[in-house]
Amino acid sequence: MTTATKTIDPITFEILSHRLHEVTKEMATTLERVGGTVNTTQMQDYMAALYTPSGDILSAGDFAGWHVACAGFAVKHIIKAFAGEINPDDVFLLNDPYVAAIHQSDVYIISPIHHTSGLVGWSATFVHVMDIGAMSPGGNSPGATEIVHEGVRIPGIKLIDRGKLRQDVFNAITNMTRQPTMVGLDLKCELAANNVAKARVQELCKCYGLDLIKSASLQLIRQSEEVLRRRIQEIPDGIWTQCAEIEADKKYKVNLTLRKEKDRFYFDFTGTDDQARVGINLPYHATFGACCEAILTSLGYDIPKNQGTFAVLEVIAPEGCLVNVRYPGPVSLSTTSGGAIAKFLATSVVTRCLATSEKWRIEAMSQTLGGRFARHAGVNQYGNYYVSTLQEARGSGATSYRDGVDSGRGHSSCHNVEWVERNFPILYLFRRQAQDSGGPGKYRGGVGTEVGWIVHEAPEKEIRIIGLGVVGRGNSGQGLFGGYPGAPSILVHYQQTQVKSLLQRHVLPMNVEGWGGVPRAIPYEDYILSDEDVYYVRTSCGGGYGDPLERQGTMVERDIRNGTVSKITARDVYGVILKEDGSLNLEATEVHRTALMAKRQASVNPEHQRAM
Amino acid sequence: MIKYRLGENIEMVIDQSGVRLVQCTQCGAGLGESPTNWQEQAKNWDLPELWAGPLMSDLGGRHHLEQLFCPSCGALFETRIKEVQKHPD
Repeated sequence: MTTATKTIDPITFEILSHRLHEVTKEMATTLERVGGTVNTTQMQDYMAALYTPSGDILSAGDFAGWHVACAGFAVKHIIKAFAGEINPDDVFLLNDPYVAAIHQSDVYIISPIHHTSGLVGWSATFVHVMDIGAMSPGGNSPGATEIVHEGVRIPGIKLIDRGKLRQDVFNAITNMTRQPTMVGLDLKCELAANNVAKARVQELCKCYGLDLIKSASLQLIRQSEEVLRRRIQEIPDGIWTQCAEIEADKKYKVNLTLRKEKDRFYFDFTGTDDQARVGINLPYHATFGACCEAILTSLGYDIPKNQGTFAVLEVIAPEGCLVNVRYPGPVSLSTTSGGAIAKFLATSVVTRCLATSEKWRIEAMSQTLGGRFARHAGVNQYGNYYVSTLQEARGSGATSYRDGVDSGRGHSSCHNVEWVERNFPILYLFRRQAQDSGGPGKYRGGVGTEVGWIVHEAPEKEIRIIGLGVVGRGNSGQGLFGGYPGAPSILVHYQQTQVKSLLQRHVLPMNVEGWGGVPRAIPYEDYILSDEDVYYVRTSCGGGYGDPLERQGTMVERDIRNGTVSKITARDVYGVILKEDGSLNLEATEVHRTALMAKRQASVNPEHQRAM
Repeated sequence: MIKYRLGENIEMVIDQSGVRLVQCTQCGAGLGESPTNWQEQAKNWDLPELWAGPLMSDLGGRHHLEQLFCPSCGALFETRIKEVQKHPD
């Protein structure tokens, strides 16, 4: 970290702080405009950030905290590994999960930024490239049992040497993937974003002088740390524990204990099961990043993200457990499985910690796991091989003061259906919000999305699907403080259905029941979707907050009108009765809720009563 | 006296002599002295998983909802989903 101490006035400081933030946003825009894959241009599965000359995080924009933290590990590794060989206009590439990446598909591009007097900082990006030469198309390989099954793994290589692209290296990397052109485009959009960062930071240095930039950087990091520490200090000390399960070749348990002491958080994953045979494992740096993200999204959402915000925690994860994988354990499924569990647990214990503070309890929010989604690959309607991703919108958790967002959550956005149908051999039957999927509560969890589609005009009459996400009962929203869980997320392969013959008869089969065929719930699996089959997914849905019997009747009335809650659920779970015209029957609702409460108090089922 | 919330309807109260009491925020009913073991004092019942909505049927009837609530006024503290060998009646 820099030691410059030039005095800086508050207005200039704010200008520089926002300029650095805007640089990361412009980097992101560049990724989207130059990139060409669904992941980058529509789902925003990327990150862009700036780092100090020593590799500390300087400005991380609005991006997911765990990728920012991991890229920090990557920058520091490059500084160490290439000491003495770092020149102006060099660019490095790194995607080794045993160094800094979360899985090989997340390729970091890292650039030193030089000004007249020397090195002034670093920029880094990642995008999830569309293929990495692993066992399964798209990089996530359910069949992999060790890291070497999971594709190209580079612990750091110089991709551009003093401004000149090393074409032989570039070709060697892209040639090891199933889609050299698209992966090449992925890498080039990252190079473009890093070029933008370099130009903008150099402009800042020229405009304000290097000493002022160094002082502002130092002050920015110090300010973020001070603000965050002050907020943590305001919360009572204590210990919170939670565990979760994930299903792969067997069930795996992940344990987390949070100890909050003065102005620091200690996350301890001791007691977590040993690493899995399949790639749901998480490298330590990703687990650290997941815990960082939990703090930033709850206590630090309005603070500039930088090294200061990452200095308030310690993460303990025994080596060889599911959240600190030991070589050569596989990790290709990690971001959406073990990573989703780690983020869920970290945010859950932080939320319960916040709830003890009168000032911060308003930030308490029921947490949602990643649910299911898939990648797909095959030959498209134009005769070209492709690999891509399908991720639908999830429902978010309810908070202490409002409902979760309906079909609106995810660290990345969902794709455009028309664009997907135009480029891939897919025909959507429907994409809609799933009624009754949001966890009931005083504040309701956001409803998830359900989607059905078929293979359409595929020259080979089939494509490959790779099922990802979190498998298991706890893969959706979990209720908080009495709130109910959201509906489970499911990925189903309907085989040998009647859908195509129905379509030929101009019948649009909008309901699963009308499809015929044999449903098969998909675990982590690389399977074939044939011409007669249907792909069905329901995303994760938000958990509820508080007692559903305390929900305002008018809010339930609105839910019914919007189709997010059925009349039956309104009556049985929320205790809300409507009049014939669909408006709220306040008197009948009060009577019904009193009866439901009496039933609860009477605890009708003594057989299941816990010993008092 | 210091109060710490443990949930929407439950809190811990520490009086001036340092004595702790976990209590219901709705009716003030006591639930013991420990911020972690209050669950032993709460009343609980198990509900079929479908109680949380019809889509819970995708869990295959292998789970139930466990609810913890105030033994005095019925204020709800927690709702958890748990796997069971035998489906509740």
